[in-house]
Amino acid sequence: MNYTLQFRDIWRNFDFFVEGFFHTLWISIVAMLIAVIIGTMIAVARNSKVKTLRLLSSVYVEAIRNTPLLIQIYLLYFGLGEVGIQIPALACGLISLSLNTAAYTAEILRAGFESVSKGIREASASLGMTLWQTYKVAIFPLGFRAVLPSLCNMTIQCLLASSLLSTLGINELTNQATRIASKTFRSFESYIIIALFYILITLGITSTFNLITKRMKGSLH
Amino acid sequence: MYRFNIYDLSFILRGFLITIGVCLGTMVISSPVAILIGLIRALKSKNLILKGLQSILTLYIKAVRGTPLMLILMFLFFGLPFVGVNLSPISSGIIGLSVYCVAYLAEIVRTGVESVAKTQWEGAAALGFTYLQTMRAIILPQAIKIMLPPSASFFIGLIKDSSLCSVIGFVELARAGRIIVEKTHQAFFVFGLVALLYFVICYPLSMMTQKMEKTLNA
Amino acid sequence: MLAEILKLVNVNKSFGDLQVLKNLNLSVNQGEVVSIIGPSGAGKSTILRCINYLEPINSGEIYFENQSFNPLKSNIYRYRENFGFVFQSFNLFPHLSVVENVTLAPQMVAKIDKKVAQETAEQLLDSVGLIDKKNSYPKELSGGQQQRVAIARALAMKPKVMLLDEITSALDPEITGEVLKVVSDLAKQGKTMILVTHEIGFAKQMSDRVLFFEGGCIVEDGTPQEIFNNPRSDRTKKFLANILH
Repeated sequence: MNYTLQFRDIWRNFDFFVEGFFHTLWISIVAMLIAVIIGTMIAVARNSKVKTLRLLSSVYVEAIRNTPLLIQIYLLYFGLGEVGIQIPALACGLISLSLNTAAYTAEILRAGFESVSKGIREASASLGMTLWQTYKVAIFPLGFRAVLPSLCNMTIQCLLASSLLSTLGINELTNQATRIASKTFRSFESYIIIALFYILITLGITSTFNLITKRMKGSLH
Repeated sequence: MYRFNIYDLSFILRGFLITIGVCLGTMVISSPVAILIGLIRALKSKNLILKGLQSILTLYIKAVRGTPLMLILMFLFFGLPFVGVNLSPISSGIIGLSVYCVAYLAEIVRTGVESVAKTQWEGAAALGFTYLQTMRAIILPQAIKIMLPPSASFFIGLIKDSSLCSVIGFVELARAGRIIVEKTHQAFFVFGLVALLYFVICYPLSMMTQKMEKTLNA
Repeated sequence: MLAEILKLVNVNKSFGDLQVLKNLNLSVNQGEVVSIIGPSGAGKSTILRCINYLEPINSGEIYFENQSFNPLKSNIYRYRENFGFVFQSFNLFPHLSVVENVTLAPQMVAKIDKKVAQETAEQLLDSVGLIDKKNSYPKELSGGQQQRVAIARALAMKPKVMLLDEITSALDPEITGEVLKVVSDLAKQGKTMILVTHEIGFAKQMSDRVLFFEGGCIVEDGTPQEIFNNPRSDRTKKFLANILH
């Protein structure tokens, strides 16, 4: 095998990399944000006094967590196509990724919320606060702080999962790797650079969470 | 219009069995390597060669865990041919899954060993155990208990992640579903069936894992 | 003539199969300081927690200011505002500063203006001796300091009755003094208070009435003089003999 690493062709096609980096970054961030919002609602529903809410949220979480993301994407994209609804691939991919991440995030948040001690909840109740007020002042702030490391991991998982959107033809990083490799015939270099991009974003996510943790945990332990 | 029939069902079920087989096989192949790497990384020694080895292994693990499985599979199947290495879909799939598996399992092994309470080391040292004796008799047995639930969870994740092999043409459950859908155009039904089959493996396993965690943590 | 502010009539409370309150009857007048003593785990705390409906009761009536409280009809949150509950484990909000802990409920629940709430909070923190710690966080304070903040927090809602649940039990013995001083100041101000306590000396000194509670019932109810010096029931005598050694 005669192969020497040459990065010159890669440099010439750098705009491909930038395009991929951009797509991966914004898709992951948006999906994670949506996942946190939906995940919070599901986590609250799981502990609700209303039996239907508990049941529905449990079914949702278990269904998503026990089936592959790829199948969920296929179901949404091809399934809707079958019924005649044409959703653009990007929207489809983003929705699937968000809903998938939301199920896992819901479990993380649920554990966080449950870790808020009974004493704190009773203190809120004794002061006359409603359940929603207790959520707002105690359970959410303390619950989120408690699971920041897990949320960091989840964000990284979401980043890695965004690579599945390449199957819908979206030009995120993984797709670009193959495209650039085909174009420049420099496959090792392409894939290595793309891998480095992912690792770079991972480092960015970890640093961001460390910063958030420092700011929030300042007042706790 | 082509109707879904018994042959299609058997094709899908075949994919189902292949998925389970491949995942079990991958776990079996990867475990010894992962245990070795995990233990090497968990060792505390001033030996420079060992430290060098640990650094290389750490690099490997961090690299694999920081990149998507999809990228690894794409590289093996689409990327390698550019340098003259042509792997079949099955080979790419198994190699890719194994590389992935080893990295994650090795990390589970390492954190398992490291999370055995420091007090255990101190107690053993007080009794006169050497480093290796402590490892063998006291740390590892406890570490194995700690490692089981995350390993089981990982296996469940592996079953789901194996669906990515479909993208490189490996005919496991997800690919089988895709092929049948292209034939019958009954996406909801077929992918729904495929999802159900994944669910049927993963859900009971995750319930068992939760129970395992409860009993081991008691 | 003292007005009756709180009355419990035939209250029953069970946790599963375990009946903790058996046909409990209790009456408290405005301005009274009532101490409840008795063996641990008997359910003394449950009495307090049923009064502000932290725990629902199985049967019986609770009258507050001569009005029966019905959880189905009345707003349970408005009802709770009448009571200031202080917990054994303080339960301060760890992510909020001391002054934020005290101003939170008045602003959020009683919808009091931010500036007014702030002023009230500072007055209260001053009265418990912690005004200089107003911007500190709970983790930076000692147990006794946290408990005093908890008392200020409860007082900020201007409750009509204070419910104090073994508030010194989690404190080191040397620190209980600073908390007990705050409570005795409140008593002198005429605050209606019901305390569950193990501090016999304090109960003797500060209470208008002492209740001995055991086995789900109030065994004896009298002035500190009567209970400690001339207990009538044998069970009271036994309890006192055990603890006064």
